[in-house]
Amino acid sequence: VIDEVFLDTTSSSNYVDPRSRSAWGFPVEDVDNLLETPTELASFQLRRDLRIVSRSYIEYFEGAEDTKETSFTVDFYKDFLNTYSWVATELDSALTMTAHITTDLGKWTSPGLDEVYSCIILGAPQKFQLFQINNSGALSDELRSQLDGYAALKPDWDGYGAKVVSKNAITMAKKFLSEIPLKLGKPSLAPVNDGSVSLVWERDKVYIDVEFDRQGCFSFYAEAPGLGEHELYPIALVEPTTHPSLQMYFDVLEDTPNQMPDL
Amino acid sequence: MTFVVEDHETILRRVFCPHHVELDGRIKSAAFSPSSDSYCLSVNRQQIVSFKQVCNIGYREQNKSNLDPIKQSKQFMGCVQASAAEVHAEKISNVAVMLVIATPRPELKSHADIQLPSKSKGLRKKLRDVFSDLISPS
Repeated sequence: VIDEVFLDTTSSSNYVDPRSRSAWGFPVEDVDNLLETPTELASFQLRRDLRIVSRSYIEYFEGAEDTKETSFTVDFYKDFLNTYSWVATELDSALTMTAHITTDLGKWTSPGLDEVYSCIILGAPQKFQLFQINNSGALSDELRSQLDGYAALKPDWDGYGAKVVSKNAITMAKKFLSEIPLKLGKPSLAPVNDGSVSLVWERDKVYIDVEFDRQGCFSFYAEAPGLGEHELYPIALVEPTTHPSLQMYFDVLEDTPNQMPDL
Repeated sequence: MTFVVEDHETILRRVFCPHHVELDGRIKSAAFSPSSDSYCLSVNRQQIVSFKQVCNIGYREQNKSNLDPIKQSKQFMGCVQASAAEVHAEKISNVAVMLVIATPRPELKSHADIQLPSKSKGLRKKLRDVFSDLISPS
């Protein structure tokens, strides 16, 4: 499910009241302080101030002459109130969701709350776009379906005596994908002839091959500029999503440019 | 009699699994994972057998396999090829890590194995890099 919010306030810039800067509730010099406040407090302040700003705009424009333009603006800010209230509510769970945000100030994928707040506060009123994609990490329906398909493969599926793909391996691969962020991009999946499942991310010179074997044990091979090569052979009792070496390679992958996900 | 295949030879590996080929025809590294018991990958030497003959072998295996209800039905997709030199080029302390060994069989004289020291994912990635994209039989 994709919910989309799109606000383009650039067309209404003529109507921005000079008071608006303070009406946003966060004088520019206080932004740094805001970003240091605890997340919950920032969330509360954001919601409260968005509400105040939005209401003040509605009152301001409702008192103006009823021209076509002002009517549009009143409606716009009514929408603004509703939309930003929704955004503020949804942002509470933004850290656990995969979101994709574009503003005139830049782009973030799966931003933290601070990034979201700063782009609203510093960027508004400007273009603000939030795509809430899903809360299943990188495990899309397509990948889930691919993995489920491997379970149906019969022996010798590769023509070289391959074993059936282990349900353990499929389960662990799904779990892993659901726990990593979508921003890492879609891996290329493949069954392996010993019944394992391989997940490969490759972007520019970064290559990461994560594998789950018949016992559900995890292993990986990775190479990246600056980090060289690293291979971890199958090991039990290791939490793959928090493995420090793998995380280092994922960090490099994340910083390697890629196309935006298809929305 | 087994021997190391000379560097100038070209080797072919048949591909049956669509899950091992990207949509654009690139082969995936998982296609080069050796069997657990032997750490070998079967290939054919193009010096002994032509590409077309290797494809015919692929079709024969496909037809034979599809008669067996226990086995996965297959579709021969084509071959990937590499030079023996490129396989031998991966070295540690000047010693080749992977060797192409001719292992002729009575019914398949062109048979050879790429022998690997382990089930390393790094090596299967290197093999992926030296082998070509999928070459379809047509």
